[in-house]
Amino acid sequence: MTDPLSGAAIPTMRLDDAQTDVYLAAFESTMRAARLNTQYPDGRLLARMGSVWSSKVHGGLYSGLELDARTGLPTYKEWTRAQTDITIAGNQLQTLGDPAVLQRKAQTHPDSAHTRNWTRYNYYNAIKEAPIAPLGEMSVAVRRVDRSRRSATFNVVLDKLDASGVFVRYSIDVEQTGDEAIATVDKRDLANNSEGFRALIYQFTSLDAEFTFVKLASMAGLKVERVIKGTIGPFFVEDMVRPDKMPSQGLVASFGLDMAAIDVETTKLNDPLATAMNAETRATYDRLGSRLGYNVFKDRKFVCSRGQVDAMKAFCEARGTRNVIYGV
Amino acid sequence: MAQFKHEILEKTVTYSGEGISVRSLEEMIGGERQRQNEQVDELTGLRARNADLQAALVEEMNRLRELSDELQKSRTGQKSSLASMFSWLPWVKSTATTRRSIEDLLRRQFELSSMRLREAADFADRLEGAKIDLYDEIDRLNQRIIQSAQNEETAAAHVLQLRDLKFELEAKLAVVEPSTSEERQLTAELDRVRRQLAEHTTKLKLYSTAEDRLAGLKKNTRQLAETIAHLQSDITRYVTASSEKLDLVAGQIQAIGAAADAANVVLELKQSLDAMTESLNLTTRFVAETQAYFRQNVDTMMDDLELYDAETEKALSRNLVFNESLDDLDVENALTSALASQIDALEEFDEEVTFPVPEEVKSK
Repeated sequence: MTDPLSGAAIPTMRLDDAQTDVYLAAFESTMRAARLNTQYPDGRLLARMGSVWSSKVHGGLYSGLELDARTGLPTYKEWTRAQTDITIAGNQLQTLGDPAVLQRKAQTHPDSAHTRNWTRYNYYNAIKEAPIAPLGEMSVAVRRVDRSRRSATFNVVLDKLDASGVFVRYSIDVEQTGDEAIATVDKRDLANNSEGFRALIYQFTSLDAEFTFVKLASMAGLKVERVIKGTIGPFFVEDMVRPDKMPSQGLVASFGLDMAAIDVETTKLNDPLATAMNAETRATYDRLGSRLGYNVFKDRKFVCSRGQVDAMKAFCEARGTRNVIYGV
Repeated sequence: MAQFKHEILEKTVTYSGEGISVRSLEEMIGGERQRQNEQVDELTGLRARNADLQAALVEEMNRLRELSDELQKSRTGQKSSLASMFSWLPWVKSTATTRRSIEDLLRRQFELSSMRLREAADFADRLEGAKIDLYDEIDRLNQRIIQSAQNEETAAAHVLQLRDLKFELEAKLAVVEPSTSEERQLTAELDRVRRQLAEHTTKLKLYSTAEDRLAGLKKNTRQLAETIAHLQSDITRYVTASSEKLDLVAGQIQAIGAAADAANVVLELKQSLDAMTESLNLTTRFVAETQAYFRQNVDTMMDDLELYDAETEKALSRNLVFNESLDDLDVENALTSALASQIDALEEFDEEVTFPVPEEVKSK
């Protein structure tokens, strides 16, 4: 792994092909080990989508993988690359033509465009049915409709590769009365979400669940039940700056859960990576919490090598938290 | 003389490759023409793909330019329609909201641009593959042209010997007593010479025709290859430049969300848009240029091919007529044509050579 690149818009680090394959294997096993529920982005889907970066799959069409040095996860550019290639694979296969001809030409012209076209054919063929994980998609589902009150309850889910470099899933349960702030409900009780609401939630992904709860609750016609922010990342890889007392070797993957909801009984902060809020802001939130009737729960689980589990437990205890730590 | 005469008449003249006849020449030229039609079809397909790419990129560029213009206006305090772009949102009041919405738009635009760029990059390799195929085709045609030229030389040399022998026999016949055994013998030999002359003069004309037609095909194939090479070289240059710009934009887009200062964020956005617009500008300019290039070259080439067809048919028809009414004049014409081609070729290379020039040609 090289040093973070200087002068880039975000700090990045580049893996070579061999390192990429090792990273992807670790990424996949970590996602499996993390046992993520639906409150998190779909980790297994991300791993399957990321498999297109393997040198065994692309056969040398690309060189390595760029990671966000802040989070240890592939950068937006790389996710876009995977998304692009999977999207165009079917069409490109048709454009490239008969594989037997491509193969014959590749054999007669080594190290030429024909070789690349044959490699590209195999690549597109291998990835054409690979899943595409959402990089910024929102869905709105109707949970309940009460036409007499002109109200509807929605479950809103936004998946996004956040600007901070982590994957975020925002899940929001909210009741809307009257106006079309979030969505309209058609005759079949299906939600047609507004682009405006998408833009609103899109901007909150870097902020915590409590902020979003308060912000939505302050809007006319909305009654918020629950805001959950599940996060994949950061993944502490080699050469990344780590929190004090975190094991300095091996991959340590983290998965945050941040919830503000009316059915959380008491506020509990169990995230050793959370940054402390200043007293004034905390006091404001506390007042709002009492008025709006919500509590906050912050948690984080980890995946690391089996040999590092005890050290990670010690790290969490040192920060006053007790967290789930899976060893792989 | 008797020995010389016997050698010429009994000589087995060997031509390389498959034997040639009017039908086989017609089939060969037809086959080659079919291959070239397929190549032109492929190029026409590439041209259509190019047009699709152009339309998509122009649309994207217009969107970006509009967004970029509005951003620029809002930065300089001018009245812009930026706010109205989000006016349907009742809660849009702050710069921050506007900023993030633009980030969303930018991402969507970036993802679309990335797709177009990837397709263009793949397209460049397809063009390079097509170029390789065409140069292979030129190599193959050259082999056939060389073979035809060698066969033409072989035929010409043999026809020269036969023609000299014919003159000699005719001279002898002029002085022998009619109806004598010697006169009958000379007449029989003259008939054999005429028969062989007919056979090899036909071959001489056919190989000469094949050489010319193949050279014509090669010329068109080279034009196709040069068109593709020009296009491939340009698209590679533009794809490389656009890739660099989009790489830069990707990093900036991801950084935008993390920027704290709103003014800086807007500035970053402006730079991102400019970079993206520039990359799309490059691509669009290229596409427009290549469209013109295609129009100028491919259409002309297709016209040439049609013309070529007519010429081939004429040549083949002439061969048929020639077969049916071979006479001395045709022999001389065939020889003259073959020798003239050799002289032309030698002048091009400016080398000192010796070859048998018939007296008739010298006197002309």
